[in-house]
Amino acid sequence: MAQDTLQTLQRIVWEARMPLEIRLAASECRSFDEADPYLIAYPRLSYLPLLLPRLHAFFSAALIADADTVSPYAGYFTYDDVPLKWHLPVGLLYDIYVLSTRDTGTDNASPSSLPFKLTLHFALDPQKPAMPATPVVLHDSFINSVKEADFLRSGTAKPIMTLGAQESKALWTSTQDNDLSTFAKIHTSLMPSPGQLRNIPLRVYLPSPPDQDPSKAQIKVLQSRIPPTVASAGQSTPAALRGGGGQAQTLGTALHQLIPSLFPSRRTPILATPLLHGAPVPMNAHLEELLRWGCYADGWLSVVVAMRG
Amino acid sequence: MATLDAFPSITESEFVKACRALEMRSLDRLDGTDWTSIRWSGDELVIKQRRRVNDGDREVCNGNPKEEDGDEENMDPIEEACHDTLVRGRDDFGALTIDFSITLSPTYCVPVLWFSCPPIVDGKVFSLDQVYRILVPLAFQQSLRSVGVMGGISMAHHPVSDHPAFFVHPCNTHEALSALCTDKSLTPERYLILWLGLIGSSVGLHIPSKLFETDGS
Repeated sequence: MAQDTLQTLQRIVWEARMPLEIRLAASECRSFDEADPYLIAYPRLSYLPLLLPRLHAFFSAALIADADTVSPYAGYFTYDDVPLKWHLPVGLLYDIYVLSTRDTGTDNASPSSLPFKLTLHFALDPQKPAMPATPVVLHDSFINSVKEADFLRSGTAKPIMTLGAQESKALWTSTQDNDLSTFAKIHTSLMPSPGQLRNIPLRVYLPSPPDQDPSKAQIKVLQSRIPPTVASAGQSTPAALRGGGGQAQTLGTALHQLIPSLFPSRRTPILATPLLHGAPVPMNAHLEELLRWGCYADGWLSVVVAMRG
Repeated sequence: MATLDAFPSITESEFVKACRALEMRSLDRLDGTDWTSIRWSGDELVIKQRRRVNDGDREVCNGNPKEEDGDEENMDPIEEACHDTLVRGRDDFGALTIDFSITLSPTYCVPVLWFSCPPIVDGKVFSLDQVYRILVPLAFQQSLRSVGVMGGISMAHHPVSDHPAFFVHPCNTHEALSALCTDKSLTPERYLILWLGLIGSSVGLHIPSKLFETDGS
């Protein structure tokens, strides 16, 4: 694909905002019927707990509990009673919990699925122990994710170790302000040059069927060693793979390797559709290209699998 | 037993062998040690350790006055409840049970040490400060706190249970293992023991010497 097209795509991903409608949990609200929701168009690549101080202030009058005794960071979000993982970007959460459950054969951005309707809780649920997602915990978790992606791409943790504290911080804040230029500068410095890439940091999110035990993990995350090229017939030694002797790995070849039962074909999505940043991605998309231009801010390609209805 | 294919990495099948071997070794040998159980579940190696919290810990828990001066007002409610939490979490013998779990990192291909305390009061989990004060031996405090965004101990959802847990970040494990061991012909179990000696000690988890006693002793 032409470079300017890829750049445009990356810009669209980075500028995307998601309308959120956040309500305080009814059980924690003085007068649920009268309480206004909090509405915001939030960067798709950003993280929900960063909203907590604002939400705490917004809802403090409505809280039954004395707001002064409740830490903003005790807050957590649910969608359809499912607690949302605080370490995932809000756009990815939407793809996992909303888009993947729609029939992707039809218009998947149907008006009824937006805004993303979330419920905010401050009271602890003893059944689901929570972890306060303070800014430092979030930042730490983000950088850990960046390190992992870096390790897979380069085979060592060296590039990320040379990143200064200021750059590491800038990478983190770039997600909060749709700051593509800051991200692009740092991301480019971390990306190995073509031919040097060892593995693609690809995670595939498989939402579990609704009838499964709700106390178990709601989403299955698959990850494996995915090199940027696949051996052509008869070529399977690691040396041949690294030497670029094979064909470029596509999203289809990688998904077929990871989940052959859902992706029996490398070219056609028969049983399931891969989604990235809210959109279906063609199976023949080159994975290395997708990584360079379409990864999340932590360097991962986070692909959500939607079953075809 | 065969030796590792790619030290300092460990493959999934080697990891399974290592965990099973350590579990087997521990059979009937945990009496009188601080390990109350060790079990390989198929996904993780779970070690329960009962650790005495001695009288000094009350002070430790309430904050070292020398370090915490002036920080008192900013204290989180969780911190304030710390003393209470600790006392209730203790059993009759003044000990805490800590659940350790060892999983394999699919990214780094090294084991990862997770730990948590059973839900104590109101489902509240340990704060990071409590972890450092109560679980991390003094000798490791400085080195562990000085790396990364908030030190070498991070928080995440455990990959098997999905519950919030702490873990010792594995991104430096490769280098540390390589520096520690020049003999690369390790069996999976020796590797796991070496790794646990390296990582476990930073949070006060030591392999009981009884595990290495020969039978009949």
